Amino acid sequence: MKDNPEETVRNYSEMVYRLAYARTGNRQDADEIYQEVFLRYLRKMPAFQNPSHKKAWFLKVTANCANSLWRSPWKRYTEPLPEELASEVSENIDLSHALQKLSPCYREVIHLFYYEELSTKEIGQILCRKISTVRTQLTRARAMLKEILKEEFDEF
Amino acid sequence: MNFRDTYRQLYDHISPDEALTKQLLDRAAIQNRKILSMPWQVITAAVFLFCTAFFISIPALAAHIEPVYQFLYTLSPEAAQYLMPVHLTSEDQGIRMEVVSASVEKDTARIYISMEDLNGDRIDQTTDLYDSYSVHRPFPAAETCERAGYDADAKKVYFLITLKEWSETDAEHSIQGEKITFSVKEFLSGKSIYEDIPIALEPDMIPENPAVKKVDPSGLGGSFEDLEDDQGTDVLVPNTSIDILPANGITLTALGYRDGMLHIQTSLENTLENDNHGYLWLENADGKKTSFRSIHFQDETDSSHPVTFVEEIFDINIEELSDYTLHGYFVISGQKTEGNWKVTFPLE
Repeated sequence: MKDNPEETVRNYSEMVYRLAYARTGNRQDADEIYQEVFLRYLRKMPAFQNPSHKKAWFLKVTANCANSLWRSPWKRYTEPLPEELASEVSENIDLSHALQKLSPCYREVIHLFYYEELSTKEIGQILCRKISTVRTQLTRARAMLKEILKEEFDEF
Repeated sequence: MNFRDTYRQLYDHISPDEALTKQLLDRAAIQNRKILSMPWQVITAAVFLFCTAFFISIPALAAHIEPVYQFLYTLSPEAAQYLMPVHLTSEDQGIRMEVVSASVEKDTARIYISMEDLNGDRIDQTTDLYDSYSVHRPFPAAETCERAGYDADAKKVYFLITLKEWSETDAEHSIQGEKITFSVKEFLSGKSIYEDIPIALEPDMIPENPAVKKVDPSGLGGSFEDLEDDQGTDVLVPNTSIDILPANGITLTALGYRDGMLHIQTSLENTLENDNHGYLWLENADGKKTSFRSIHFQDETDSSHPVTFVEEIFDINIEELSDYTLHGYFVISGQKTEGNWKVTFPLE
């Protein structure tokens, strides 16, 4: 599959940035991960078999870059304060607040499941976790959100 | 309301900064041009011809080129064509920092800095400015500083600083002629990088249900569903010093199986001073890597000698462990040199 780098940056930038933001909870780190993912892509120019492979590659590299960022000792000492997503809708404000209370890995799984609409199997492959672990994390994240949001949502 | 819809609505508003995306698109455009118009044979031939013309066909010119520029040419033939000598230096602690050249092309400035030790061997191929440099400039810009290369003969390390102006509102504005101040307050050198190091961990070295203690973590990686804000989390009690890690500066301080998971705890001393870091992973015969979560905590009993602990937790049964081998990646710095190096120069 031939790749056009400009088209790829345009098409995948929001997906990469949103996952980076979901994982880190702040723009400063999300910016860093976002740049690193695309710099890796431009340096490596991997050959993708198909669009699904390409999407999975970008999600996986984003998750890996987020892990690497976390492992940097400098980052651990200078962790920025989490931000709440700006929104005028009160449900969104509550949800944003609730998401910040979850651990980064839960937010990552929630994002891949609800926003990217991946199956637990696909999430497991991208994050190198067992399917059972992903399922457990999803169940617990939902339970925590329900608890924090006091049953605000009818359907998860 | 449906959770999925609300979540989507929330994240539909999240987008990367336009300036960042523009920078990436600029890089992608360069990459694209290379792919579309220049097969590798053409690039190789062009570089070869340019090198030949530069160094052989014009010997008189080559003879007058300073070694520093010849070295910069080996780093980047393309950039070397636009080099503008600066030759401004700053010396402190027996270390000389020199702004070798600066060039401006449209909205981007490229500055080569060299550093050398006038008295010893504190500069080497691993010398790293990490977060210890600053660039003062009178215009908004995205800046990067990367190690460009090491000249072993001259014992000089080169850094390339790139400034890309952000001004979107004033298209006529040029950064040419602007003054820049580059300063450094410390650097690391003598760094050892241990990549993908296999570690001899035998199952009989791993005790079951080892002693634990509560700590207030300074950082977490992975999922921690059972962690309450004010209760801290359980970690193994550091109680050993098993000599199986190949890197001096990182010590294995505890091992054990708890709740069906393998815990491996390591410690690093004074990480704020030396930037030492590393991580572990398990890998099976197919190359599949496993890592699960990590807990970072501090022991600051001795404030002059703080110790950082990292406990890596692997979701793997003891029966499965024989299918995996433990690997590590470690970066250990030899020394840190402090001083005050500062040069102000114009972009011309």
